[in-house]
Amino acid sequence: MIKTIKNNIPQFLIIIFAAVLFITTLFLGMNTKDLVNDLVTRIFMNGLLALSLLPMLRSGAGINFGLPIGAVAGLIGMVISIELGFKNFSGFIAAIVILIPFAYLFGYLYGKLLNIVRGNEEIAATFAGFSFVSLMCLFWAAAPFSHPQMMWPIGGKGLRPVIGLKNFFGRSLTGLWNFSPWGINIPLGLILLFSFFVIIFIIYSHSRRGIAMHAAGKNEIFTTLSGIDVDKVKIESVIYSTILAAAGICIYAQSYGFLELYEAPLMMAFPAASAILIGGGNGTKTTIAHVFLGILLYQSIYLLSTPVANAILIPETTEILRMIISNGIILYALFSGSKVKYGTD
Amino acid sequence: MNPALEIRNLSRFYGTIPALNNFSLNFGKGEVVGIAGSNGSGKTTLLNILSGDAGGKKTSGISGEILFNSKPYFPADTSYALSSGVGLVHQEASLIPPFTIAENIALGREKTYSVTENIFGKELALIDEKSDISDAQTLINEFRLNISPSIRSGSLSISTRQFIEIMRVISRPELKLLLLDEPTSAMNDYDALILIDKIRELSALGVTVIFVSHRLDELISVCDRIAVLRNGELQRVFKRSEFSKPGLIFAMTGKIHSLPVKNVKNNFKDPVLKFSNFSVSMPGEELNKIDLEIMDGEIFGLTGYSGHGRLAPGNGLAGLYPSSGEIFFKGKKIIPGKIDRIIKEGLLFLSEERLANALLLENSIRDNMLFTAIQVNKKYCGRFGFPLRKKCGNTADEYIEKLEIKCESHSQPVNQLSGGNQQKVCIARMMIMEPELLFIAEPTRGIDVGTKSVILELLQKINSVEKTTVVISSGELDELRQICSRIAVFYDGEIFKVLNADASEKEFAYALAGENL
Repeated sequence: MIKTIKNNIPQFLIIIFAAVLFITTLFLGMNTKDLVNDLVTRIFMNGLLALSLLPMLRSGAGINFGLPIGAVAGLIGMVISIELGFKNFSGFIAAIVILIPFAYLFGYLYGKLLNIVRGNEEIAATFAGFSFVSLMCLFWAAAPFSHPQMMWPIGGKGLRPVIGLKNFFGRSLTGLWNFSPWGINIPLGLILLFSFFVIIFIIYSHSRRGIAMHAAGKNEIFTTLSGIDVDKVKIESVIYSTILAAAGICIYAQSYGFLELYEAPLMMAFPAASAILIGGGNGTKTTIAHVFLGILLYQSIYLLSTPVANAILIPETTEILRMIISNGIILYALFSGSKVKYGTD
Repeated sequence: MNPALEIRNLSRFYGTIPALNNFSLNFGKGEVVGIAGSNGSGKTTLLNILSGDAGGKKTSGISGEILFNSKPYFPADTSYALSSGVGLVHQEASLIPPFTIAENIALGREKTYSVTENIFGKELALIDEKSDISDAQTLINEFRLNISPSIRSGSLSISTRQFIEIMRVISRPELKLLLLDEPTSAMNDYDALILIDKIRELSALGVTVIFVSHRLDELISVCDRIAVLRNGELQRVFKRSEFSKPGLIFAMTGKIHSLPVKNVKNNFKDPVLKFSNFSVSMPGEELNKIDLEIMDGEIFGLTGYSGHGRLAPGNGLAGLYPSSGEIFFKGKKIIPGKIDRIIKEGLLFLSEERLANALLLENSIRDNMLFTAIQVNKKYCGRFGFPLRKKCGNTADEYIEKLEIKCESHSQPVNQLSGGNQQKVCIARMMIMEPELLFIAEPTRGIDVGTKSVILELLQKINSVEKTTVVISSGELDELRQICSRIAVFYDGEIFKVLNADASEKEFAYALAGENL
């Protein structure tokens, strides 16, 4: 027990911090039930985005800061689904099906790029994501879509920056098979879909291909000498990450109720990356458990710190304070993570 | 007169393994002392301690006493050693590529304009480039080179870079002890002669020189004495009158004749692996157009001093370094680097870098043993490509027992095992694949003496029981002679000679030095 805590001091501190926040909400007489409801939904709507980082982490390609590339593929899927007139849950499923070929293609090209810059994947991924999002701004403005609820109201050309999903598939998954024991809302459909992806990932990582991917992340020459094409394996992992990210953004958007185009996907990678880091994920050693713990902690702090700070501080400073605390924690998690990596080995 | 440098009982241990053991020797002022020895004999360790690279006495594992000019001397870092007048020229030149020759030579002690120095201080003063360039030109002339000091050093040949490195060290006016770590390994004979002349000049000026080299001719021509190291211990010090190449070689390689040498069966007829005109550009182990035939069913050794190319055939075959020429396996041409194809043909390569290339350190013994089999051989996988856990576990247990691997269970991570047991795990991974030919590099490197013989016996068993042809590249000649039928001796990137294991030790000693008996 003591050893577990010693090895995970940042996680332990963050758990304490989250607990303190939660207890404070009780003292301040806030509506705890609402907060918990929010938390449950937020965990599962963000879950797949964090999970999408895993394939690349395991294959040694680092944190997928190019997640916006996957997000764009997801947006394309959703926009086409709307354009084709799909509605409700079938609209959501159509979006997922349509995004797969786009995410596959983007992932393949993006994977090729990352193979060229082997060793500097994270920084290359960041800029690949940034530039791709900017490039796609042209696409959103010029693509030949015609559904009136997606177009600029004046002029009628180009897509709107924000498209409400209420009339299409907004909350079609989050609202699916909901039930509320003790007044806590459980979005069963959302949980089941997330679990489905988690199970698929676990099965995959125990397959021959999954083992090869993990080995490629740990030791490239070893893997090469066992007759495996490491370049191919790495591209595969990037494709999986991209597809998961694309599906993740669909789940996120339908929960959120809006679809944001243009520069909105730009910073999408950071909350997911932060969650993994807070959870204690460390390069190729990252596991599903890190993802779970990470999302739970990150979303708790994100959700609880604002109302608490609002109540006990001047409202204007709360956002600043929250940024300092949550980013500071990530920085701390990064520092102690790298100490493990280089210090004691 | 007091000696310039006195070393008493100097030792350095890595754990329990001595890199240098109880080394004592005095060096006179202006004396040139050669150090000879095989790989791992402690030559570089000695130089690293003297030059401060080893980190001084605070570093664990170093003990003994050094007196330099009658004062205790134990440099904690290179800058202390340099300011005390001790300079080391590394085996591989460490110049800054985008800097010019003059800048590299003057680095850290550039001449500055005194006016600016008075105003801004030494660190921020304006550099007098002209003066640095003219100093460099003087040095270049002394070494009879024909290059401009304003050329960037990145574009220079290796031997020229080595000269620049030497210039940088000897241009220090305070130099009293010069340490040369195989400075001529990248040079041709003419360049080496220039260096040797320079060493004589420095010696005449009173600089003590410690000269480490594999080239015995050079040592004999320039040294006053030659100290021979073996396994970290000082074997013998030769005076000038005692110099002879065979004598030095015997002192270096030790009593090879005391070990049992394999009886040669020369009934191997069918070639199974053939290298034709095969070159590999592996830095430090270049291989130059070799032709070699390995027969079906034999154990074949590849040996030579390091840097002479014995490691290159395996690494070239595996495609880890670019190669040219042709390789035939069972009469079929194989393409280096197409590992999946090569493995399917029945040829396996085990790298000499056990920790870096041949193990997944955090994974279990089972995962390591069966990794290649799972990936290449469908035998250990179920219908949908999932490894059969039970079958894999059983196979791992079987090999743990067969190879007597000391471990808790097959789930123990391999980084918790000793070097010898790790090597056994690697070999088990190969055996599970049931290869027709096993190419294994440095199988006993970094393994204690007891386990070494176990590994060798194991390789012998693979050959006799499983009928696998085994090719071993190793610097340990005596080990090769115990189990191989034939041994190829590499010299200067080529196969100098292929000898039967029962050839005389004298023949081996000469072949290693690139000479005919």
